[in-house]
Amino acid sequence: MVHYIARRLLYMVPTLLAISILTFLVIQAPPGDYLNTVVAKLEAEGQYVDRAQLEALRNRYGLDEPIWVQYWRWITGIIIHGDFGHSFVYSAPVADVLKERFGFTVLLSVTSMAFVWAVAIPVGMYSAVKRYSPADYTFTFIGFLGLAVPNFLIALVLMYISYSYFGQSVGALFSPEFAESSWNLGKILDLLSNLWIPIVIIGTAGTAGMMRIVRANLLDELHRPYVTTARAKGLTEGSLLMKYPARLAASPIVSTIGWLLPSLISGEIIVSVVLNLPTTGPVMLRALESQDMYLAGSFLLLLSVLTVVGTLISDVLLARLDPRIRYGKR
Amino acid sequence: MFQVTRRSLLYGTVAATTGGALSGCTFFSTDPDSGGSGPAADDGALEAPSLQQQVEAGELPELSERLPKDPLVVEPVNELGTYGGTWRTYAMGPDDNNAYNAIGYEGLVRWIPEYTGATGTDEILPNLAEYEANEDGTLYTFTLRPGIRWSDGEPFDADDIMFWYESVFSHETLTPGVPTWLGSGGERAVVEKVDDHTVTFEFPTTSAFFLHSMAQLGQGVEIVNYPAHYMSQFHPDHNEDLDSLVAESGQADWVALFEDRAQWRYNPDLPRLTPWVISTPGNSGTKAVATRNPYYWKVDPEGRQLPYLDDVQYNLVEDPEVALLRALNGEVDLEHRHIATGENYPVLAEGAEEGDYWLMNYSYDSMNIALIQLNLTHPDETKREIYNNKDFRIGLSHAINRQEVIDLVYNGQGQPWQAGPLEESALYHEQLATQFLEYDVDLANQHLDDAGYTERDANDIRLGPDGNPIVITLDTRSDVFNWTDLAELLTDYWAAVGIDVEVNTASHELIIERRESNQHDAILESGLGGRAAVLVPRNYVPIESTAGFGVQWARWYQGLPDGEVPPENVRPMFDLWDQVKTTFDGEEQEQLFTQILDIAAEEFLQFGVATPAGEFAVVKNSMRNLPEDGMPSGTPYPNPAPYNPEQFFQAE
Repeated sequence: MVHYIARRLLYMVPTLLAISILTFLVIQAPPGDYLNTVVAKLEAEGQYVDRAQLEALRNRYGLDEPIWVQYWRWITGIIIHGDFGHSFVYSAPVADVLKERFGFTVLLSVTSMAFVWAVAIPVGMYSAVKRYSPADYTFTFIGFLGLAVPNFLIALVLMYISYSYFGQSVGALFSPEFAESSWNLGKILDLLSNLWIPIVIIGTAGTAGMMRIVRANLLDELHRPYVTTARAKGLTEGSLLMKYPARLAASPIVSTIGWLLPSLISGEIIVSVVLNLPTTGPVMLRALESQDMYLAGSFLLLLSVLTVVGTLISDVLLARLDPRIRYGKR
Repeated sequence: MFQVTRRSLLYGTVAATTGGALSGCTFFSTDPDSGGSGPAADDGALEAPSLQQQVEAGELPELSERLPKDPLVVEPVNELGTYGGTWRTYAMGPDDNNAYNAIGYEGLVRWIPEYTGATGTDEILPNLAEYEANEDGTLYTFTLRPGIRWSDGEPFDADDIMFWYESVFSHETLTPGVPTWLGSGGERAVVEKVDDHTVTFEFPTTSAFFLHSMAQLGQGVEIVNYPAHYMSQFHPDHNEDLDSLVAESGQADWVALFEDRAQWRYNPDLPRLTPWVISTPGNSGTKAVATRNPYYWKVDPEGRQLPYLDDVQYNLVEDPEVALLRALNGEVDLEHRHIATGENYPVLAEGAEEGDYWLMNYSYDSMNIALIQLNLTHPDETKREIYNNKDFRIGLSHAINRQEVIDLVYNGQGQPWQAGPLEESALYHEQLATQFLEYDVDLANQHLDDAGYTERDANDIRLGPDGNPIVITLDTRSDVFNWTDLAELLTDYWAAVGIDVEVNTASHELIIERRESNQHDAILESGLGGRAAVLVPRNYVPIESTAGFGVQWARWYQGLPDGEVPPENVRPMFDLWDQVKTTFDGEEQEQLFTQILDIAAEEFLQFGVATPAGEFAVVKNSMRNLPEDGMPSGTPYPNPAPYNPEQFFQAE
């Protein structure tokens, strides 16, 4: 086991290096650079930047250097100094920009994941046991609806409802009067009253998908001979279900636990933009749009690290859960 | 004295119908963050209650010590105001720099509020300084108003200007290249200090628009953004021990540190001359806040220190729809940016009563909703030949059903218009503005036939000189209201006369990249310079590459090696522009500029669609001292800043 983990950790190094090169290349692939964003903003207000000045700025920011030089400066900064570089858009160190939004992103991801599991697992199990019942059809219908409607659309609709019927301040985790105030009961209540919208929105699609997975897995197990045997031996339906098929049906869920890790910080980008949430999602989008490559690159790198680590965690958990899975080579 | 206007009637109606509800809504007065007291309590006080408290606590000198002996008196638009209140608005993300224009407009000189874009210097007011220009516009003398202090209490004088001149402007690393407005004839302006309160700017040849540039944000206003006593510590010429500061700050080098500290939007420590000073910057958190400058140097006619409002709060939003909902919800006191697009007008008008706001219509300085610019300097010889054919352009212009565009896409507002100055401008040029506007498919076909492209392919598309069908890729920005819809309509109109159009909708950044590398066939561009045509001339004479019809000519004019000499018919425009730039007299400028417009009309280099509907702002009913409709907007006027936001106030 220890050997296995050590080997997997070792594999991560080249994987991450390759990812970092790839992300940097992809971010730089579109024509132009951050200065196009600067020019666009100035032009929108009718101002104009001389090309000579632009070249000088490009030189100052090191944007005129070959891409591998820029990459080398960035990656060595991270490895040697733990310095992720400077964000052009925020005029601040990348680490500060991400750190500031980290807390709320994790909070939102964890709560919406909890929401997904709390809703999807019982409903999925119910649908499987009572297959083709009216309730199963209803849940399935709602589930597919949630899966099919884009999240941001639900967000816009909920925002409109929230504005026109509840008069609630929309588009943030806090009402304006609490946004910068210090923590107190009022602020927490305010947070809770605003938090439900993103949780429900982000949750719907996840719930639908998870519901279907649970239902399908359980259906596979429900007709196995061991279930019939257990039933013949007189186990009640409830304890039978929980004791045998449900445990086996859980392995696909466990194998996706690892994906939770990257989603912790990525958040739901478009939903966050629409709802104006102070999470890392909008930062990522803005960084990519503005070609703020150190911010975008560092963010993607962080995501990759979490994905790779998450996958490892999933694999280890799965191996613990299911003895049929073996470590190492065949 | 008492004047019944539409607006005051509206106030009356709103007050009468919602009086009870309003008195219950005490958001402003109980706002825990602003230390200001109720508006009624400070009658007669010469400074804001919060400042008075600080004076009493000994944290701040007396008002008389903070104000100049002879402070600048600002005439309020309607009435004297009361202290207190917050101006709530929003910024679109951390780098929405222009969101802060309204609170950053304090230069040596400024525009008069009722700016019309006229030539000459009549519309330039003294601000931090009185100005004087010699007859040929080569020597400008500024006499600084004595006794003005930075927001930290240090005096503002000629040394601050000289610090900018010697250590920033003349420093090759900090100012690479000469900004065009600070040079003439390829040489830099020379700035000299005469005494503590007098500086001169001298140019080798006439610099006709220097004063106008001094009145512009991002140009002249920049030079008073460097308080010497604060910024000198970050400059190697003034601080020998700079390395330790750099190391401490974590910045890469001193240049990065210097520029970081000079960013007034992000650095709350930077002393300022503006009514409000950033206290919470917008590059972190969810809002930016600017609070009252205790040393602000302007007063109302009763000698009470401005600004009236305690602070300005910018909520950071990521999406314009969020801003729109906020405005509908009555959470925006005054703003026009990002939501003042035509498509939002109906929904905002409908929600005005519930949101307790009104819509203030600006008088927008733009002559067109979209200029259609064919790339006359296209690298592809065939395309260049086609686009440079004047008959081809005339044909395309006649093929556009402009009235239908106005009705379908722009709510019926606007009138068909080519790329010419607006009718109310002194530079209005009838031929340039109104030729070839008529929608006539037969006439269009005739011109296109005259252009020589009579052969058509199986799809009825005309064939170019190389025997291939004529296909134009039209670049449009995705972020501009309705340009995509307009482009789709153009596709139909031109297909009807046998020209194939492919619409390429992309982000502004990408469109710029394509234009700067001269890859575009055709591009839509905004029609700035409707009135202030002489200050924003690029839509008439392509001196900047923003003019998508003559990118290479602009390069040539700027002296770049990869530019291209304009052809004989266009070249005189540039010569005339050179003369305009070195002519100080406004009337002579107009005469010369009219000659440029004559050429533009004759050559018909680009064409337009229609005059744009005005921009508008959402104004909360409690915000006072704003003009009724008609405040100018659009470059070079940073609305609403020239209307003296320091005299805005809030009343129930």
